[in-house]
Amino acid sequence: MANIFPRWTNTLPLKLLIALGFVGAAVAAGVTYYVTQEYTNKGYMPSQPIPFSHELHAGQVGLDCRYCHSFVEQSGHANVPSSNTCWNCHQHVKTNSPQIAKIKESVETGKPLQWVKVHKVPDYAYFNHSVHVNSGVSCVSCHGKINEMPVVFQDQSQSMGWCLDCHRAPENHLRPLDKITNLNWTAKDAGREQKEMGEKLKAAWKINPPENCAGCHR
Amino acid sequence: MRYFFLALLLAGVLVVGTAGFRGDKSTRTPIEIFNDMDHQAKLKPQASSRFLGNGASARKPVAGTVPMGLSIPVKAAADGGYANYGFSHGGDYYNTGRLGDFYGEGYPEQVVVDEAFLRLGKERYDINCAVCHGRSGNGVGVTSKFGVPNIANFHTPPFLDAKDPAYRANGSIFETISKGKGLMGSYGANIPVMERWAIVAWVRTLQMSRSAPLADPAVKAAWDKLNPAPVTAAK
Repeated sequence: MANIFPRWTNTLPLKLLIALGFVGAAVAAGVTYYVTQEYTNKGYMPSQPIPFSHELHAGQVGLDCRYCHSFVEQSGHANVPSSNTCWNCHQHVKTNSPQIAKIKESVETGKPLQWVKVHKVPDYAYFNHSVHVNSGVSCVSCHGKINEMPVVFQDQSQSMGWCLDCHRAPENHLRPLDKITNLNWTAKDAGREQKEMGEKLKAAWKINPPENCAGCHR
Repeated sequence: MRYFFLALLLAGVLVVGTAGFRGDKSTRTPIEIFNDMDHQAKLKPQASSRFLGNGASARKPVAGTVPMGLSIPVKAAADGGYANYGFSHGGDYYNTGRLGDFYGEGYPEQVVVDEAFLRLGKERYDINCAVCHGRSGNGVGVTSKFGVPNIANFHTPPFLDAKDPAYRANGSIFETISKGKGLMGSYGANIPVMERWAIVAWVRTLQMSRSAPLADPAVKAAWDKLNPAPVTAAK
């Protein structure tokens, strides 16, 4: 009786097993790398209705963040400025630009400019800007160096694990309240170590960030 | 087996080639992998909605709406009353800077001018006003380099001298912050009422800082605190 299976089939099960192992490892590596907000959200850089440059306004001109985002200290929502805020300066500055004409139209008609939201928090998470800003967390901790971005992009993953990293160890980010909107400032500028300064502020202000679910999900 | 590894490598290159790396800049809307309840049927602040047709998520109050708990303004806007009448704005001195037909000079009873209040005023002034008026109030802020014309200098007679015909009393400065004046736009939508009064107080502080007599022991003490080197009087 002739052999039904040729000789090479002897090693086939082993080879299949090895192949499966490699494919499995490759898929696991791919999922680990890609299925996370580190990949999906970080670097999101939408184009805006007006190519407003934070690098120019906040960096070179030196406007404080709160000149435009005026209610970030009082409100859970960090407001996008009204067109009137732009217009207060731009009724005088660069008035012949077609981009400024869009602001003029918005002010005259009352129809708001439709800025595109960059950082999206899911609707089941309740993030409050004011409580963070008033507790010594700088804008730069979550948004990166906006004052160096001609076009704003998402600098941090802003995933839940990322939130908890800071909620578990806030001393890595706390700073004096008058340095909140100074995005270039680091503890080194005051001749101190971030960790040591953060620990002191945490104790002094009794910072105790919630780590339970209901802290953010209500 | 060799072909299998080649294929695997090719697949890997293909995936990395199309999907890129973490943190790559992209204008595409982020992919939401389990997006259950990410977008709920509720409206967040400053979000748009298709429900009302004009894209707004809420109706504007009808003109002349009086918010609950506030009194009706003494005079209608058409008769020279406070035009920028919105939520949280009453018709009294604290909210308008006006006493009847006149600007008030003092501070309203809600305001307590102490050190904390002046610190608040300095902070808010540096954020909102110093851009044009300068940190010292001399009218040479950064925007003067960009062509903003006729910026007021707070160290000139219309701001200092109550006998000047164009004198701006506290209430007048408050109203200018709220509603704008001349070439200056309004900041009523950006600065809460109490902080506007704090800014008024800080403007007065800046003015006083230029005329504070060094002979006054309190002024001398404050000066020495800021300048540890002894000041020798010029002969």
